Amino acid sequence: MSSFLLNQNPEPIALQGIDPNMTVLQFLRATGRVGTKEGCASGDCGACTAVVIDLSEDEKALDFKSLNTCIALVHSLSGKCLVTVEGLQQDKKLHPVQQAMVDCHGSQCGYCTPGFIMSMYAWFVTHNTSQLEEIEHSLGGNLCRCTGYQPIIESCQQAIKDKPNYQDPYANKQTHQRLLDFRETLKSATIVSEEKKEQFYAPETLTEVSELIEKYPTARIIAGGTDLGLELTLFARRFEKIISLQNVKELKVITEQTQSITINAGVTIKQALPTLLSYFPSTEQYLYRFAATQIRNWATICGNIANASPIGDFPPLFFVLGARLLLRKGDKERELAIEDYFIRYKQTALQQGEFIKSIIIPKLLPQEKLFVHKLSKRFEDDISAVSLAIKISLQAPEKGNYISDIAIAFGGMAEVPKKAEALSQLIIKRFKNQDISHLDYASINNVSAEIVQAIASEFSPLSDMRASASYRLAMAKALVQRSLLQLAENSESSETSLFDFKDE
Amino acid sequence: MSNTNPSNAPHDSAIGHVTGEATYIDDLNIPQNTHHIAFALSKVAHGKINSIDCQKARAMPGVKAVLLSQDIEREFGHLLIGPVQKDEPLLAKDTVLFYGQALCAVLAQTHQQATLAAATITADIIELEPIVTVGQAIEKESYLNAPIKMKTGDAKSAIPKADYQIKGELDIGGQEHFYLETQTALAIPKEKDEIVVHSSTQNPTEVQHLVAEVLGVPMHSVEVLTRRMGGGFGGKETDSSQIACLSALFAKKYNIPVKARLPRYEDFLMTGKRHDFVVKYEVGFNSQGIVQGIIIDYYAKCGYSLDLSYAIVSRTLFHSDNCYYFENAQFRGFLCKTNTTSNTAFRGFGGPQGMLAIENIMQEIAQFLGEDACVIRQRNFYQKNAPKNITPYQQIIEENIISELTDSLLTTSNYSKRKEQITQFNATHNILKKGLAFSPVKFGVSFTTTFLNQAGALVNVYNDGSIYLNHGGTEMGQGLFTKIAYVVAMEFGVSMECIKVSATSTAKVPNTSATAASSGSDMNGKAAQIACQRIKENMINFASEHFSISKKQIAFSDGEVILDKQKMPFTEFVKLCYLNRVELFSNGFYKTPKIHYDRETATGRPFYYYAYGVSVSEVLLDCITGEYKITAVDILHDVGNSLNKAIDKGQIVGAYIQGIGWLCTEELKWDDKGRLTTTGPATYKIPSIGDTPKHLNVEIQNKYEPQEDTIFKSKAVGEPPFMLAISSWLAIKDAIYNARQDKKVAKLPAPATFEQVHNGLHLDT
Repeated sequence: MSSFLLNQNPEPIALQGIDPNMTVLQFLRATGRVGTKEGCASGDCGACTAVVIDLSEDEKALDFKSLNTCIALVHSLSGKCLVTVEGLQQDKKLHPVQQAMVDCHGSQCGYCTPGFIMSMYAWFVTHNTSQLEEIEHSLGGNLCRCTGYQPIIESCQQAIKDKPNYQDPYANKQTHQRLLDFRETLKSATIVSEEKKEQFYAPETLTEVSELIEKYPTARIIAGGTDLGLELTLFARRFEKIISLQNVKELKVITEQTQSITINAGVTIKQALPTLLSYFPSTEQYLYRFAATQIRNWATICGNIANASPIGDFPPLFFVLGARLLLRKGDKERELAIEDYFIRYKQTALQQGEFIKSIIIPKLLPQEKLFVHKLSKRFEDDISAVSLAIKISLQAPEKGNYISDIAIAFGGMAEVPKKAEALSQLIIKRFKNQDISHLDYASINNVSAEIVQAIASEFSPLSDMRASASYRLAMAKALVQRSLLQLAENSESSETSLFDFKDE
Repeated sequence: MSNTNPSNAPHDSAIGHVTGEATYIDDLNIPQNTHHIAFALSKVAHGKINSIDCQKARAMPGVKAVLLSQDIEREFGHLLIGPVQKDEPLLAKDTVLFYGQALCAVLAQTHQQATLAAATITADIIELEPIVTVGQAIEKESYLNAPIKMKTGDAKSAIPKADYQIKGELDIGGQEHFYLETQTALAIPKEKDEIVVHSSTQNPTEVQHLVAEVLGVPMHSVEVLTRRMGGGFGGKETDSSQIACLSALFAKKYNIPVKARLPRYEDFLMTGKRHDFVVKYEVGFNSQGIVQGIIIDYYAKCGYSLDLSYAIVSRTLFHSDNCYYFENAQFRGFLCKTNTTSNTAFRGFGGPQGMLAIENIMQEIAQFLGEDACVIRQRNFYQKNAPKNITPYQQIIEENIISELTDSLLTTSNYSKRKEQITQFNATHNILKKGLAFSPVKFGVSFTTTFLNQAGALVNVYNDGSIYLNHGGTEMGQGLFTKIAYVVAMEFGVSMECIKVSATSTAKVPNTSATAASSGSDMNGKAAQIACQRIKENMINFASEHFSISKKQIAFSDGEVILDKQKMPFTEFVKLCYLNRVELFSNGFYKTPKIHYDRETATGRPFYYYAYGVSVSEVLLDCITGEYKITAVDILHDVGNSLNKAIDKGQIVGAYIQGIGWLCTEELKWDDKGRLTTTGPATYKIPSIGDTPKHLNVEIQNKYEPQEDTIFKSKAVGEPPFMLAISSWLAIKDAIYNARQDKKVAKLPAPATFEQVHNGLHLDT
């Protein structure tokens, strides 16, 4: 039987008989726990934020992760502890993040406040200093329409000062033990809900999951579930069979080989970030602009590929790195170059009953440089209008600073993420005989018309609410320019964008 | 902590907010058998309804009824609502006039059942050509009303006589309120014709009035309750009525409690927004940049119905002067009727568009002359004496502190030095450029519809010394309840804990105006003060006789009553009053003095007073992409003697950030068929935490006390600081100007999205 813990309640909450299509937020509010609010039902405003406490991968510690309850399925909570805004006080005393929000006037209308409190709580437990950048990363998925955020930032700064003297109700050994004990009581629970015609499957082994997917090829597969939830809440859809990868331990693994990294389908963005940043440090800005913490905590790398969106931020990056997908059907596996996965808008090379088991990402060679850029209306938590990844290979150092090869891919420029072949050829042609350390703003500007032409020859982007077609084309060019400038590292002013600018 | 000073008291619900215990309507413990409403919306912007097929929906599980416009007409006889003109059908009848208009309402046992059923409803609609843009409305002469006009001097002949002329056009986008709590209502039928409606509204009396009208009952049968809203910003001044009325209709028809709460995307589609404007202007000025004559025509996208558009566009005209004296000015406002949702009140109420227009003109004059824009502004400022203290609508500005605030902020923000540094920076940088701008705010406070300037309050002192406070204002997060409680606490000399603020109720204080026009604390504060003073008068009369002391020797302070040489705890004194049969409760009524306005001649004194503010913004711009960051903002704002500095600062910072949302990232987009394509936070981007400038310094001016007899000499704060964000937009435009080597003044629409900034940098517009 599956169940989850809620706040400091001693009794777990049984999930048996609960609608598999029900979100965590719907469950909370239907059972009278109305502190958690619905702001958008699409995972974009954070008003519904709660915190999930889970055992870490090695089960030796606790993992605190904020969650958009409006798009998370209640069945995915099995075996975990959910903390809502009602669960933070101890003996009616406010938690430091709550007290600080009162003292610093961090609430006005109060409707977004419970969500902020929970994002702040997740930040509080996992941080010891109040670096602004970290606060922004942690709260970037919470919208407030009243305060202008300044008093909320001040609240974080005040709260963290109280941390050394504060005994947290959950960040302690007792909660760890409680969760370990609780896990013991849960029997293997592949079929979480079978009472109605709708079913939620949470298998625990790769074999089981492969069998289920082959058996029910029309079932919806979820890993983080951050995309599926929208279909339930915004489009009034219902799913008969949902197969969750979340409990499959084998799928939560990152393995590092000599020349590549393999990330399995259950690995979240949060989990993969340290590995990705250690091998691809230039992606830091880009990856922290992927959605918001509440999404990065649950969404998986493979899920961002699997849903075949033209505007996913990972595909362009993996295209230029030459990543391959490992697809599995039953007990058979096959490899596929990532660009061959995307066929048409939301159409993929997956066969019936097949799923992405992992992605194999080659590491960079010493002479390879990687650049990724994203353009959106807002810096935090926004979908790309255009995204770009470029990998440039340089000649062996003894031969001088020359480009030998280049791979370029765009997101948001076509119905699928796509490589820019003509553009790659153009850049090699124009720059292969030029010492890149002599590249400057003017010399790059000189070829800008040709760059636009090359892009336009292969891409006819759409006009939509995020950008016009002409701006997308102009930006595709602009981001290429920016990358070349960064490659040169000697443009007259040392800054190539807002992001690497440091004021005096 | 720091909150022992009651004038810095935290929001009365702060603890409720942070614990989740503060309840909104959707959180209320609903009575058993409460049913829920969901809507089927029109998928075309303009069309003739042939038929609506609800058959499938009626058979869905849990569905109790589906209501169409003809059902309402047949059973209740009253389909049309509207705050000024009754031109808004509760559900579409015969024709649909905008994309997202409600076609019918489904009532079911759960919200999900209602939603699933509504999704099955189809409509056969013959599409007609929609009018989507202001340009199309002008072309087709589609207006809701004759243009509103305001005139002083003779601008037409003054402009050509001036040394220089500029002609131009400015596009200003609308803005979605994005209150975090969407529109919500809960109607509970009571005995006979009575009904109680919980409504998330800024205007309980209006909801009461309309519910009574559609139900065909007197207003005394309808009680509307509003404890708090999860944000309003003007979006719940009139737009809360539709779902409140429909909930009430269903509730009465089936004699069951009915709740309606709009999903976010429906709230985007169904409810009004800030008006989009196209502004056409012509200005003549001398070599000093002093305006000799100015003509501005405003074309406001009002949507399919009138709503409050007349008053909103009027306020645009009232703020077309901002802080500047014009000898010759002519302003006209055109109310464009379009096939879009009916635009409505939004913080600033038309004022921001007027102010943005004139500030854009001031900057263009400066760029034309190659002078600092701040200097040009100062040369045009209103002066302290006639005639340069008379507005185009002939109100004399009796209290003018704009020059003083400007001088102070330019000094503290180091404006001149930073301007030099920026010139240097720009000379040495190719890709990144900086911009700097100053802008002032003068905002008129009062409803320009004079009769709305009235308010009431009710104060009960119980015989244990606790005090119950009720007034006509509503709490939407702005801290109104905290401020009014403070007024009462000060009057009785007791602590804030002694005062219980209570949900706004049409049964306790009648005939109230919307909590709007920044007037909430001004008017309700005065009304509450008057109620307190009446009770105190009763107490003083009694005490004077009882203790044989003079009335002047009686005072209330620090929880005690001073009775000449002796002191008595307030609680004990109240008990004594009670035992001696002293009346310990009272209402209070206030009407704003001195104001009057004649619409025909467009002259009068529409505003009791003005609130002022100034800001300086600095922007860093990436010329390759058009991306930018607002890096530093300094604000000096005037709230008179603040009733609560923490709350006022919160209003200023919050309004400023909401203002940069309007001017920078918040872009409403319709496709050519009139379908709104930005319908939620995934596509419509309000500022997030990273958009708050790293340097954001807000000071409240404390040198100049207001002349008028406002509550404790304070000033309104809700709307005025919204327009401080204009300096940020001007700084972006300044950075573009600095970046363009041809020194052309590029057109920059609002919002200045990265795409628009990129166009401004690279296109010849």
